[in-house]
Amino acid sequence: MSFSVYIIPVIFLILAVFARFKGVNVYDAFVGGAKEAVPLVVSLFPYLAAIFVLTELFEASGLSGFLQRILTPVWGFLGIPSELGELILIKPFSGSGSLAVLSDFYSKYGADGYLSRCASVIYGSSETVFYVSAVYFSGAKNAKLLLPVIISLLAGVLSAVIACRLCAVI
Amino acid sequence: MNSVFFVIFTLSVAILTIISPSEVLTSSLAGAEKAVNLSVSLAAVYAVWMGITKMAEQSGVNDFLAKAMKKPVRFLFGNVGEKAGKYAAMNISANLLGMGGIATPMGITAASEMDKTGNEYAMNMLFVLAATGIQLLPSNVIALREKAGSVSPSDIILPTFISTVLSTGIALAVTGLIFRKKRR
Repeated sequence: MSFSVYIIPVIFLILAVFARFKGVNVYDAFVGGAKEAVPLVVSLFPYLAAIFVLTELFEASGLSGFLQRILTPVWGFLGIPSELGELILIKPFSGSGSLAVLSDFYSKYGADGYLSRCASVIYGSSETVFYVSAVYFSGAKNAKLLLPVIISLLAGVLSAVIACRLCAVI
Repeated sequence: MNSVFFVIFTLSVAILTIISPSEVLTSSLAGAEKAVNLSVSLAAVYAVWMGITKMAEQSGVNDFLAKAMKKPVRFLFGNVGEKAGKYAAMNISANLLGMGGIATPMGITAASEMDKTGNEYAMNMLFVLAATGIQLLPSNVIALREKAGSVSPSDIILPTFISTVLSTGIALAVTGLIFRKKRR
């Protein structure tokens, strides 16, 4: 067990006690905050729908598999084992999809194998770029995100390169 | 986003039209269904986190956090105004602690505040920061490894930390350089 499991319980506890100490009506505050959850989800839904439909088509069409084959020599050049290509490609699209790939690594190569550790670091140090671009900027109509998206995707590849190097020595 | 969507969407549909036309609608519906399921679980996540956040807000914790993060926020985003800066500070703090559930609503508010003032530099920096992963403790990965029978599930903390800091740092520096003329 690592101490990270205590972060959230301790934060919840401190916040509730501190709020009460400050004279806040804790119940009213919680309800007031929770009330905003559904309108937020409703406003996010169309963006989620678009990104998930796109992800599904991307995979069903074989486009994602095709890109993977094209990219195999690139991974080799960067010193990334080609098995990890799928994870690097799927992570920007889908959090649940990449989590499934990560679990596959654990059952195939054992949780402590080199590839599994690389996969863990890649998963932990990159983000679902397209999801962030759709959700964070759902209320920002003037955002032009093409260049930042490209930079973030390249940063994901960079973190994979670093991950594979580090896992060989640490 | 419009161009990314257009390119991937048309290419995928064109390929499917040739190889298996019936899959276009089934895949689209499967995707939309995933969005519905995710929305339902997000409603639960946000209800808990936004409830907790409201408690923090009313007891003044958020203002304290915003004050403590004032310098880093100014360094990262330039001059963004009080409200955007406060929400950006909370978004970063939550992301660092691995509380993605609370980070998202904060990030949305920060982004739309920056959008209102047309602050392109700050929006791009916020995006890159959120989209390159700034979680310090990958607690979900550690838990998953533990379940899969790892001998030392936490030995990925250090490499993850180094890899995150390096890739996020470089991405931020590149973004900052490209858009430096738009910084306020």
